[in-house]
Formats: sequence, structure tokens, C-alpha cells
Amino acid sequence: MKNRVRKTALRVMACAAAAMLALTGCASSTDGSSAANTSGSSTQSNTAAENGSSADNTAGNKIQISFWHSMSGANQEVLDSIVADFNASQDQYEVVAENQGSYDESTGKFFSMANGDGSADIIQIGEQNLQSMVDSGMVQSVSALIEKYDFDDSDLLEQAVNFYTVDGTLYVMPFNCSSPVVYYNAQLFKDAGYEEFPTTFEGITEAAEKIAESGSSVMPVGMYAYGYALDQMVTNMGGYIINNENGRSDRATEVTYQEQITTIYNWIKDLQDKGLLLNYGSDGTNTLSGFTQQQIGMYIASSAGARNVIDTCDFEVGIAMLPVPEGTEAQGVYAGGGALCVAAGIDEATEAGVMEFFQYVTSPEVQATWAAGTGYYPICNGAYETESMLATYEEYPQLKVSADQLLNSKVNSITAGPLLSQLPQLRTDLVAALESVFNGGDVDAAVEEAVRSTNAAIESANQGVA
Amino acid sequence: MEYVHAPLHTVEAAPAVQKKRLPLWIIYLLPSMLIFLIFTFYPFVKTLVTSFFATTNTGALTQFIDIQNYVTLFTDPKYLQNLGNTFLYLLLTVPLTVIFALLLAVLSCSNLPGMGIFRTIFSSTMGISVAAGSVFWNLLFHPTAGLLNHIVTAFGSKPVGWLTDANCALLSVSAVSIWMNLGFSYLVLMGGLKNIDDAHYESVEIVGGGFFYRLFKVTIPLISPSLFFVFTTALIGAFQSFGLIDMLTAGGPNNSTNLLVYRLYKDAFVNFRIGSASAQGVVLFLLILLVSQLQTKLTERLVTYQ
Repeated sequence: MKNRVRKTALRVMACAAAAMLALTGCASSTDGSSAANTSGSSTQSNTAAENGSSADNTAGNKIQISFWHSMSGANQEVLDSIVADFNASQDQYEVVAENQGSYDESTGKFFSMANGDGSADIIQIGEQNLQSMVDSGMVQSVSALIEKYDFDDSDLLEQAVNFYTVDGTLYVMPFNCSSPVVYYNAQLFKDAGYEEFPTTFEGITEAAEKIAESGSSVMPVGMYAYGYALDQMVTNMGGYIINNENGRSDRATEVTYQEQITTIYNWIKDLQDKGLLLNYGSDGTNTLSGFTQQQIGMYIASSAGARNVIDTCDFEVGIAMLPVPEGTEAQGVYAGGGALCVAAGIDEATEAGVMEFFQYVTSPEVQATWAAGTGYYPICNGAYETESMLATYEEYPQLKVSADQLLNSKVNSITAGPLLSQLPQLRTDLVAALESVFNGGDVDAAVEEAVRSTNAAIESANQGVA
Repeated sequence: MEYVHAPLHTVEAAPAVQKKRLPLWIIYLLPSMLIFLIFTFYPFVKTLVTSFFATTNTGALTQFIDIQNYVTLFTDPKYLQNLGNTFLYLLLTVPLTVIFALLLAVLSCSNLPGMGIFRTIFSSTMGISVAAGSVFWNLLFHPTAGLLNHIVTAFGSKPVGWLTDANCALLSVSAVSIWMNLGFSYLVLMGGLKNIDDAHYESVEIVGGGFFYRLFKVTIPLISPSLFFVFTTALIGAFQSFGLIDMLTAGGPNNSTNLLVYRLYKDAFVNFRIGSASAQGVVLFLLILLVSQLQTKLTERLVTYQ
């Protein structure tokens, strides 16, 4: 008897435990961001602590402006010091900056908060989150505020304005612009007879062959599947990434990158078949450490961390613009990176403070400091003429290269860049396709599968648009 | 309770008091019921409802599309691959975790001096967070600078793409997962072993049984409740693996380590297709329910309670 009771009790408990655990998995899909919370939490508590103490010190009746961002490591330090300088510069507002994890995680949390208490007044987003933010209706267009507060937007970089303009109005405030660039070991390429880095796919393959022939132990090309770089390369080759002119003339319904991406994958496959390329999966950090330890000669990554890469390596790092196939004219890149959104429905006083903060962070001096400390490039023309920026470019000419890649970009609907709520999905699919190529898969089949998967996601997402 | 108290009151007052009083069991259950209702039951119902709708990216329901979310899921070769990956991952991790934990527990169960050190070491992975463990293994797996590839190349073999080779990645992640979960399972089984009365082993001595006789005829039957518990939690834990995948491979290369929960997370919190993610939540719930029921049914007979 006792046996049976215990037995049933244990069974009930086991099933209950199973159901509970299962349900928590479902629960987070509707109301929580428990999973998304974890990765940013350590840095978050740091800044929260710092900000907490400074808030206590200055107390008084300053209006607090909550600013969620996604800068970490060295870039976060630079951002924190800019925010501290702003707070010290005036006595009306206080910006409280908090790291909320990656752009995608931060956006997810912002949606979950539904503009309630404790949510952000300003949230930094990546270019891939722009359409999602617009769709959510939880942020307001910055151009209305620009008019209302007589904000001088004439100096903003036209390429950045081009990307962040939705339906004819500037939707968010550009802040940190970057684009993917080629990082290379300058000495290695010099030894192979290259003073200038090649600008074409064919040129890079040839250089890689020469390095391999010279008996160097360094693998000439390292690469990780990086979605942002892949769609920027499509743009650079003059292709629309998605239909309806990159989603600018009407809501995009399917991808249109097939021709360009096939060329790119074929180039990569050729490098790999010749034994000139080592893949790091989709792990950018591992690729960077492979590069700094001179195990690979070049790789493609965002310019955002350029300053850090140059300082870390004990050899000369070169930066070059994204390559194109021979005979194709490089169009340039779209102004990716990050920008600042303003939450909808904030009160007048906070609104004024937000614009005051925007005025400060988009000023030439601050943008020059920001660009010099990170690898982002300034989003106002004035910054490029400041003494500090010129001095930085003198000391780090590489940073000038990545800025030029954007500054020389044509301004048209191709380089306006993609406007798509499923841009993260599009990139995930491009990454999976490239990983398939890395693993010896057929290029056409990989592209076909990526196209199918992304188009299905776009269709499903568009179905839900109110 | 009421029954006991009733005689203490006057005859007239008794029925009135009885009516007013809440049955005591409700009060005892209330806190846990409330938590269950608010944090588990309500979200579950909402998830179920959402799964039949097209949604905006913030989760608002826009149009009823009956089972279309489910149809899309089960016609998506990537999702079917995720299902396959998840089951493969279960098969790779659950039995091995339990077998290794049992082996270590049996080996370190004796009271020889210094055994405490081994017990500490074997259970130490319990004290390591998934994030820290992943960072550590990521360094070991590094394609060019990792220790594992240094060892492999020292033996004259070609470097292995531990996490970048589509054929190898799930095995690598499974190995880390076994390592991570070993500590907990070990500890539970150890507790079970310590509860076995020495008299049983003395009887074995008298009969003259060897190590395997002891293991299969005495130890395993007597710790079968602990084994059952470890199996169930390992199974559910494996179904819900997230941290390792996120930190080590992000579901790559080419979808080969993308498990159900990770896919759900990406669709819900990165791509904001809430309707589809809800459908995936429901599918996952049904799967776990089914598999754990099945497991209970199959192993029930093998579990003996003292």
C-alpha cells in the first residue's frame, strides 16, 4: 500500500515537473525575454551600479533620460565617457545609459516592455532592426522632433540619412555608422609583392596563391560567415538585396540577391578548393584571434572594432574596402551600424532632453572623439574637418579607408540599403548557406535554400502586419 | 480539521462556522496555484491562442489563420531538420550522461581515504555556469589556436573543425553538454548509492558475487528511483538546451546544431514572428509531454521502491 502511494506520488511529480519545464519554454514566447536577458546582464549591472552612484551624487531635480545601448567592451567605455561628459555639461537632464545586450536582444526587450515604466526613452538599434521598430509603432519619427526643436540636421551625412529615411522622413537619428571592411596583415601582403591591397575577387585569389607559394605558414584568407558583410557585398556589387527597390518603394516581399550572392559564394568556394581559405564557422571572435595570432592573413569584419584590432595586433594592420568581381564597378556600401530611436509617448520635458542629447552626440567634436575611439565613422560632415579627427586619421590612416568607403558611396536606392523586418532572418539564412558552401555543399543549392527560407519568413511576417 | 474542531463549539453555532470556513487545503494550495496560474497556465493558454494567429512583431494578433502556422512549420525542411537534430542530441547526450554519472558514482562510492577529493572533482561541473563553460570550451575548440587541434596535429592528423564542420559540430556540442550535466546526475546518483544498506553488499559477499553481480543485482535495482529521476530531468533538460548552442555555434554550421528551443528563441526574439514561435512552443510542449510519458511507461516496471 505504502509502496503504491509513493509510486503514484513520484509519477505525478515527474509528470508535473515535465509539464512545468515545458511550459516555461512556451511562456517566454509570449511575455518574457528570460533568455534574452542573460547575456547582457553582467555588463548591465556594472553600468547600472555606476550610474546609480552618480545619480545619487547629483540628485536634485534633473530629468532622467533612459538610454538603452548595445555597446560593449572598449566601445562601451568610449560611449560611457561621452554620456558622462554630456551629463556634466548641463544641469537640466541626466542620461542614464544601460547596456541591454545585442541590438536584437535590446529590441526584443523594448517590445516586451510595451513602453511601460522603466522602458527606454532612447534605444540604440542596428540597421537590421529599423523596419521592425517602424512596424511596432512604439517609436516616433525623429523628423517631427527635428522640426519642433529646430534641430540643425543639415550637416548629417547624406548616406546615413539615406539609409534611415523611411517614407520620406528621417525616422531615427544616425549615431554610429560602420560597414564591413577587409582587415589584412600588411607585412604578409608586402612580402608577396603587394604594396596596395587588391580590389577584386580575382586579385585577392591571386595574392593568396602567391602567399601560399612563398611557403608562408599563414593561411592567406580567413573567413567567418557574416550576414551583414554578405548583404553589403551584394550592395557594393550593385544589386538590390530585396525587391521593391530594397523595400523602399513598397513593402518587400522577396529577396533579389541571387545573382550577386552566387558570384560571391563561387569566389569563396574557389578559394577554399584551392586550399587558400580557412573558415571559422560563424564566430567573429575566433576569426579575430586567429588574425591577431597571425594564423590567417586577412578577413572581413565590421569596421566598428577597427581601433581595437589595430591596437591589439603587434604587426601592421591594413584596412581595405570590400572587393568586387573584376569588371564590376564598386557602388559603395549602405550606412549600416547603429542609430538612436526615440520612444513614442514620452512627455514634453523628456523629449526636449532627448533632443538636447542628440544635439550633443551628433556635434562634430563628439563624433570625432567617438570615431577615433572606436572605428565607427562620424555621421556629420563637420567632424571630418575637426583637428582631432584629422590628427586621428594621421595616426591611424586605416580608419580613413573605412570612412572613405562610405563617403565615396553613391547615393541611390541601391545604397539606401535594405528595409526589411526579416533582415535578421535573411542574414541567418545567408550565413547557413555560406556554411553549407564551407562544408563542400553546392553553391546553387545553398542559395536556393536560403532564398526559399527567407521568402517564407517574409511572407509569414507580412501576413501579420496590421 | 473541521471535524476535530466541531465538538468544541456549541451545537447551534457549529453549522454556521462550518459554512464560513474555507476548506483548509485551498489556503495551503493557494500560493503555488496562483504562481502556477499566472506564470505558467495563463502564458500557456495565450501561447496556444497566439499559435493560430498571424501577429505583428510585438505579438498583437492580427488575423485568424487556423493551423497555417503549424502547416508552414511542418513543411519547412529546416524545421524538420531541427526536429531531427533535437532527437539526435537527446540520443547522444541523455544515455551517456547517465551512464558516465553512474560509473563515476560507483567508482567513487567506497570509503577509501581521499575519495572526497574525487567526489568534489566529479561533481564540480555543477558549479560552472553554462556561459563560463561555453567560453572555456570555445577556446579549446578554436580552429587554429585551440588546444584540441594542437593535440590532433601533434599526432600528425589534419586539424578538425570541431564546431565548424557540419558533421562534427553536434557531436562536439553533445560532448560539452554531457560534461556540463555530469555533475548534477553524479550527485543525485551518489545520494542514491549512499542510501543502500551495507547488509545487501554483505549478502553478496556471502554468495560470492563479483563486481558486475553487485552492480546489476544490487546497486542498480536499489538506486532505480534516483536513476529514473536523473533520466527524466536529463531528457527534459536536453529538449530545452539553449545556452550551449547559443554560445558555441548559434545553430550553425548550416543549421546542423539548431535545436527546437534555439529556433524558437530566434523566431520569437530576433525575427519577431511571434505566431510561428508560439506554434513551435506548443509543438515542443506536446513533444516533451509525449516523450516523458513514454519514458515513464517504459521504465516504470524497472523502478523498484523500497
